[in-house]
Amino acid sequence: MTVNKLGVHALVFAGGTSPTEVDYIIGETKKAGYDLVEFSLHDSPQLDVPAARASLEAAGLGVVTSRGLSFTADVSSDDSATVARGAALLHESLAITEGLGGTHFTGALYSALGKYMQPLSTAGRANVVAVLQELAKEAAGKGMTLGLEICNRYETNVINTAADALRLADDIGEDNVLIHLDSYHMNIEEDDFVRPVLLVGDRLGYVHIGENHRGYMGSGHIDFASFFHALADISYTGPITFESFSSAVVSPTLSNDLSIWRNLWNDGPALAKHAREYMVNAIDGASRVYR
Amino acid sequence: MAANKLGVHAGVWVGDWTDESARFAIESSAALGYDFIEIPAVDPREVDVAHTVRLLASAGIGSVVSLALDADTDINTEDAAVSARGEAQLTAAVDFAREIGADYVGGVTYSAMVKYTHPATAASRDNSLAVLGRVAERAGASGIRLGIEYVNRYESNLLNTAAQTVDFIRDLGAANVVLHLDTFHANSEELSLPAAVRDAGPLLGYIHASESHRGLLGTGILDFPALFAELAATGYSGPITFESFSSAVLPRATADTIGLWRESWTDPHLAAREALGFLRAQLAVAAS
Repeated sequence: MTVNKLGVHALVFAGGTSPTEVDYIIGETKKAGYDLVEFSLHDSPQLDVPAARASLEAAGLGVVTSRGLSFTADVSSDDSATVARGAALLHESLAITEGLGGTHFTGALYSALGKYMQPLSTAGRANVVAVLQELAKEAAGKGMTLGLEICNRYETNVINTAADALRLADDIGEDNVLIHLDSYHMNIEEDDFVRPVLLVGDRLGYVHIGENHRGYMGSGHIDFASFFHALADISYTGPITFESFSSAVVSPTLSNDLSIWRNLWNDGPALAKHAREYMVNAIDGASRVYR
Repeated sequence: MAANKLGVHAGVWVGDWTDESARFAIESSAALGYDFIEIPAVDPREVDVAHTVRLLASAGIGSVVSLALDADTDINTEDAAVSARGEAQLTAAVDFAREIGADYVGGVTYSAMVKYTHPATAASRDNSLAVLGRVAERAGASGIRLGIEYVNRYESNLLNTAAQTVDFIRDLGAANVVLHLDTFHANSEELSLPAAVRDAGPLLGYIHASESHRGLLGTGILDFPALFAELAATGYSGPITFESFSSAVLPRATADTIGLWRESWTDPHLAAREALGFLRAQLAVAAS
């Protein structure tokens, strides 16, 4: 039993969120010993929210939701209609999160999840701040938290580093907007795995654990010892969720958006079990301080 | 063992190849002590090639040529018209290399350097192989090696690892085609830098030394000592080129293409000087 709730991303098990897939995802999440499952809302039209909530409660699992926006529904745009579509998507996603019984909605809530072909504009950034202020206020009324997931340069032009994210959160200025660090993205953008954690400190609200190639934990070169030590040093007690993608599990939309071209594993349940054991060991090890 | 030649990417210095830019980039590289400069392929109709040749001769440094295809000149495609434009671009790069006396043309030569929205197909891969077979033959006739630089998942859907690239080069079957390892891209895709070197094996022919965030060498996450130890152990004697990009130098369109949203440094002299010292120190430690 770790102090942190441990989660797994649903795409480890299935590419969509149809009723059959949701039942399979929840069953395998539970079997692998996790506390919570993260659903990406990219497939939300397929999601039967009340049924999923009932299954989650029956399994005794927590839930976190995540999403990125799209270029036609993007709150970082200069175009007011595009911003309005992005804002509508965020409010709808917040309602789905509440419907599932979740309190944490995170991801690239501030932009499309994709390769931009121009830098963020001043007007676009002001739109992000305005929309997320409003969303945060609505979330606060429901006792919910928003996460700003820091993504690499190929997935957003809004926030690529912890310093970027803190500046954005400062400008939004709402207490229920927290920072979401992801080791996979950090590996591309940060100088190391310690300074960003120390910089974010008690404003860290969610963590994604993933290897540099998004495959099996421990098979890549990310310095997880340093990362878990840093999390222990700031006394991080929030959720930590494992994320991994392989061409073996295909989402018709998200796999291409995330450029998942390679097969890094075939057996999602075995991968998930291994990752949980890896995280439990890393967290336990980081808690042992010899002086 | 022959010492590795050390080079610097022209993009560290300049964002275009006007006479003035060419002079600044070539003379600055030589003044710092680099052995050669990597020059992005240019349109010979728009550039005074003879001027570049004279500058290289007077500075006493060598050159290599690089290029990346784009969506409009992609050979990793089933569209014959797009592929033909890509083949013309590759051919022009080989001709430019021959004219300036460069012995290497490398880069994203097998695919567009773009965020694809679909996986590669067997047919698009076959097309790429067929085109590169002809380009390699043309390059070989002038004693030029052709480099296949695999890149991360966001810049190509065809070759993301050394292992995939080795398979591709074997299928290509041309003796003058080599694997080009870029440490920035390897950081996102490989098990480790030494593992990438081992996977590349004897096909390794060119290296881009580039930090995990493409900023100053030695300020990021990459384990360069492990890389250089592996290179020493395998006896790699080929070229090593410093590559780093800052929006302070690159034109906005190029920066947008590679997703460069922040300024990692402002002084190219400092970036290039520190990188050369860093590379020499890594080589010396690994050899000791």
